[in-house]
Amino acid sequence: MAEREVKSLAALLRQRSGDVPAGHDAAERERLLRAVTGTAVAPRRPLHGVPLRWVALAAVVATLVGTLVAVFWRGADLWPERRLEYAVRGGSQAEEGYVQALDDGATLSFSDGSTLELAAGSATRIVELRADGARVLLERGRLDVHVQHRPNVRWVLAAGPYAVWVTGTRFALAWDPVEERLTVDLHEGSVIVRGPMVEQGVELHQAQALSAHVPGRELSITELAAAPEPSVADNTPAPEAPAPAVSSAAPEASSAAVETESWTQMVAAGKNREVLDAARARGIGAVLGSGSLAELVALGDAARYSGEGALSQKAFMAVRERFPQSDAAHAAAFMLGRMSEGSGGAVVWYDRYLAEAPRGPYAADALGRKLALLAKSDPGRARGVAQQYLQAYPKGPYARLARELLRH
Amino acid sequence: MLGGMATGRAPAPRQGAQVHVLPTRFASDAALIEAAIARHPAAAREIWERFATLVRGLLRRTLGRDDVDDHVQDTFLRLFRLLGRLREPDKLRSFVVGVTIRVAREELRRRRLRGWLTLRPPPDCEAVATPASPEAADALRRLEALLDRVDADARIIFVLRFVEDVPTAEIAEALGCSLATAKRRVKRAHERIVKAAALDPVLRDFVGTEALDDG
Repeated sequence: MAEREVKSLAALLRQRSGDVPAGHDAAERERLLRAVTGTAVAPRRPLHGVPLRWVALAAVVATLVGTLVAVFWRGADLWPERRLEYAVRGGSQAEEGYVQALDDGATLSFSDGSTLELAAGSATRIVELRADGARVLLERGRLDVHVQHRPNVRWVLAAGPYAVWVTGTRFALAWDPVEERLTVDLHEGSVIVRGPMVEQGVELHQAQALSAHVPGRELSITELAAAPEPSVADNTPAPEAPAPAVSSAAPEASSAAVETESWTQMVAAGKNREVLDAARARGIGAVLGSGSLAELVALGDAARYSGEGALSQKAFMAVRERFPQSDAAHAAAFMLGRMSEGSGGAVVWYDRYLAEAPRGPYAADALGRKLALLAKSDPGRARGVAQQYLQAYPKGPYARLARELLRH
Repeated sequence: MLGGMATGRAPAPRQGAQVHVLPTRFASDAALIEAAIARHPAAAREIWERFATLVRGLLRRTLGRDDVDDHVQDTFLRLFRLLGRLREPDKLRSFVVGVTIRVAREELRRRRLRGWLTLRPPPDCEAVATPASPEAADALRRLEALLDRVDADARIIFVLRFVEDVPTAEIAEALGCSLATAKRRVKRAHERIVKAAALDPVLRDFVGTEALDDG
């Protein structure tokens, strides 16, 4: 075959393009963002100290043994996917996964440890059960959801025209089909809500609440403490949310959208200057003294990315002082280290981060940065850190530096 | 979300400390990489926007199926874990291609092992959403079945060089080998696949007709 024929073969394969519908791409992008920003998929850790070929051999042997067991004992699928199962306590059940809560409510317990608490008078339907999650429709009322976090877990909860995408979190979902009003109160983790007025999806973070009224084209996102309690279980309309509503019917009203957008979302969208302006409008002292954890982190990030290092440091210090046991406080130690590099204070911050979160998302970076700094200022101490680094991250980005230090 | 132990009051950073500032709009790849390492959501979003189509296309073409979402996620998660190793920011694209290759190669090997263990041939390739014609769809299926029979490296390199038009020098960077080695591997992949395709009557006829039409 000549080059022309090779080109024809290539043209055949090009029919599989990388394009997908915009909605699908957005969903996958948000899934990645959740994982990257630390609210999903835990990083896989290598098996330290065990030669890779032995690990591979052990895996092959284990697979062979498993295969034989499957062949002899099951006689069917070799790798059957085990779907989730669930049991219902309280309430009444009907065909096709329909569950209605009576006066005492109902609890659906799933085999992966997840639970759905259905409020009195509410009704739900388990539409689909898979190995990695489930698809649940809230027909009316309120559902307190606790999805057990596992790698690659995918739960979708639908309510009216809305869908809430979940990986591992705790939140309350309420839907009033008469008023067409949705409420999502997020207690832990993060979720993505899609539907009218948020067609591309909006990500909610811990301690945020979303309230939507479909006929009125109103949607607002507020901090959870200030959000109204969902009250659709008894079919009474929820009170107006305190934050100004976003009207999708008036796309030119972007300033209203900015006001209701959380600072976290604004930072994620690169609107750092707007976050700083909003914080100054409220008063920096007031934000540092009484702002929520999410606001302080957003302020710290916005200031850092805008070159206002002193303000960023104040925000992260406030995170540590006011929320000392939170993950964000540990992460703040790492950020303070990054901002203090060159001053000598960075190593102290990295040590603090490593003590507080030895398996945290920045642990490898903190140890590596500490190693790099000590290599310049204190080679004797750096060698000890180099050993520690190689033991924990033998293929890490600072492994070469660590080996060089240990050779000399 | 909560965890860890309570700490005492943290020491205040020294005055005059050097502050590393990340740009807001990621004016350069270096800034983008720095922000991505710090797990800035906007950086993750920008990297996705820039490379998702490339990564998904590469995976679809090398793995021979359209449903590659989990592999795309795996690629990007690895990318964010490994970005700290990237020493030359202007090589970001090659780096992304390199990580994608690794994911594709592992999946192809896993698939082969699975096929061997189950003593079953690999499942037929999915039909593509919009085949140019039934003949084209059939030829594509046969081509992908053919690619399943060659080794993972040959398949990946064929896709990179002849389907994606990635220059050999960039393939060398992505594979972490010398240009001369990359050229040899491209030549070997070309020979294997062209030879196998020439032995397939349906594929040979289809490609011959297409080539004549082009000419």
